[in-house]
Amino acid sequence: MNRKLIIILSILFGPYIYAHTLLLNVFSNEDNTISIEGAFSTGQKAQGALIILEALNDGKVLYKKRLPESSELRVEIPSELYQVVLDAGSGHRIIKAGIEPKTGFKNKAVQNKSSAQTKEKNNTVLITNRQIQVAFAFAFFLIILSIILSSRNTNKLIKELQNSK
Amino acid sequence: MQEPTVKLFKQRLLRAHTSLGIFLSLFMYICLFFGMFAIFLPFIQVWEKPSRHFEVNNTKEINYSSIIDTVISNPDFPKNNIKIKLPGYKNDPALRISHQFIEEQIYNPNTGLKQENEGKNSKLAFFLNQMHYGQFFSIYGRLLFGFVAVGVMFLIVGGLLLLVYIKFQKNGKNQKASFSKLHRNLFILTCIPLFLITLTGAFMNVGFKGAAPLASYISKGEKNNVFALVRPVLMPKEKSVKSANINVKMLSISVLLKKAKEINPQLNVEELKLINWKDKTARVEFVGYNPYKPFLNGIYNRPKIILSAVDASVIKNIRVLDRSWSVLLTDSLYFLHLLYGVDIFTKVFVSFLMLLSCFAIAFGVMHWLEKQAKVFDEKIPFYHGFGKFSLALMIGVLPATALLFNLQWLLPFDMNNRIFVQQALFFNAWLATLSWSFYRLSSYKASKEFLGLAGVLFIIAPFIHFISSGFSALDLYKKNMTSILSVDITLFLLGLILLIISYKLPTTREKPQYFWNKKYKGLTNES
Repeated sequence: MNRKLIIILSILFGPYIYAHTLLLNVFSNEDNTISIEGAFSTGQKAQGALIILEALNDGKVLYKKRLPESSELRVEIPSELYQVVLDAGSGHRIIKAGIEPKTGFKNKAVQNKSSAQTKEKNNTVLITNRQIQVAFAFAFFLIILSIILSSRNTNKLIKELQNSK
Repeated sequence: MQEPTVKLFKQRLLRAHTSLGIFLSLFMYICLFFGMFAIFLPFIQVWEKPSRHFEVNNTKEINYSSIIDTVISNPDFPKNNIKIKLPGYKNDPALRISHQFIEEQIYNPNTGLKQENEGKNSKLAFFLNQMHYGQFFSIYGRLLFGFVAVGVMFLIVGGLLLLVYIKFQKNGKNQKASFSKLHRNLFILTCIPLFLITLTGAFMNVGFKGAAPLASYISKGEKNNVFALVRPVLMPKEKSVKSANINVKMLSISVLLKKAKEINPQLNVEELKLINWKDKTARVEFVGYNPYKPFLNGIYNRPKIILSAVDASVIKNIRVLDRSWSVLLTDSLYFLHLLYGVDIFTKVFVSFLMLLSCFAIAFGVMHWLEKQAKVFDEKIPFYHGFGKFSLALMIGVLPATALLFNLQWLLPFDMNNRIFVQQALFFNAWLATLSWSFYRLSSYKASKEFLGLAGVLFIIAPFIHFISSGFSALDLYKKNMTSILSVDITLFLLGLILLIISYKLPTTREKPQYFWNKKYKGLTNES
């Protein structure tokens, strides 16, 4: 790549490369337990972040604990469908699907409920998108209006100038 | 220098000053305009939030322990790295308890009651500040504003050289001469503080973010972010203390706070950090500001005392002058821009200087526009695209900002996408002033209307605040909520001033010289 381009790209995107992202890792220990690990992309531990195991059918909290100094927890796999949530506060949540126990989940029919929750979320996104569309459409209209008005007034003044000569 | 060389230098300098000045004027105006609000940021961020509307008592007599101990005793609350911001920090009357992984909790320090935190639903001061340094348009806006600051420094130096080399007419009798004189005289008054503020602004915007190639070069390609290189010097991290996993009774916060004040009486404790709370290794960091050594602390250099929470023994006592010279230098540079820890009178004085600079920029643009207008020789009304754009940007921003303040208390705080709606309406209102500027042939008439509208909206804003918050001006005064009341009074006075200017401003370009230069009443534009 061109050297100048590298310099320009490093100026523009340099600050983003070192973003501080929180990551959630869930893996099976093959003994009906899972290990949950929270850490930043920089390798820094996420001690104090809240780990929640939520049932998917009724949202019941099956397990809740803050990450210890080691930033890792070992938890027994619940028998019902669940998800692992890393709650980083201020509404920032990382969610991962729960790993199935060796014997399988008791009730799998609850998946429909979680799709209803997704629908609700989609509606909120739709409202946001509509608001963004309206705001940008109005801004676009105002810019076009300014150009039309400018052109109309310029023509009017040119005519006036021609008449005055 | 030889005569023809001097003449050429003067010509080129003047042309460079004019062209660069016109190009940068609008950006710089926006930067200074929102900068004036940013100076009063601590006041606006209290005014904008219902959770900060409570009676303010003497913070020295408050027993923080009862509130803090209750919160952190909750078994669900993290036990390590708990941050507590004491009332009065950055003008905020609330006691704030937070942790990296929990939402900040707000408490009324007088009653100990938890206040509902608006959090992300109230960002007026934050938005005004972001508009000031370009952060609203992310890193691109920040870099742009940084380079504008660099350009403005060139304009200031170039302008001073022009004053030395060129003998400007002191008693010009037309509008052009009046604008030129006002542009020069106002900048002579403000050039030194403006240069310092611009220099530090450029340092903050371009210095860190734009130094990626330099960081890459000096770290031999290891790091692109210069802050990653300077962070260990500016903000060194305390070594993490390994928990002993032995539960021990903690001393109360009040006792520890009293001890910290005995160790360093000059320290105004602003923040507390609780480490390994309830463990044998528990300690408390008391971080603050030393008002007896302004310039040198407050931003990166924050003096602190670390005490054991078990027996109040001193673990560390870091004073202002204990840090390296590079940290002291960085803090003094930041102080020149952020005015950390200064009193309200200094803040008002600096904002007044920035207001004068805004006027100076506006007169510079008007001087340039008058030059363009001369071509038409009064045959038709002067109608210039850049003039209309400047009008919308410089004067149109007033009603848009006034609307922003009104919307802060008009829109419900639990509204979905509240911030987006507020900001979208602000930008669209600002854009509407552009359409209106092009619609009106006379820019003076449009200015009069914008100023009038802004005046009315700024006057209404405090009343909307009184009604929506449930606190009248008298209530605010009686309950010692002067920070909030002062914003209301300022908004009202600003509205009143804008209304008066709107009333006095002439409606046609032929009349303005009587407004700007009454001494030469009766003379025409070309005299």
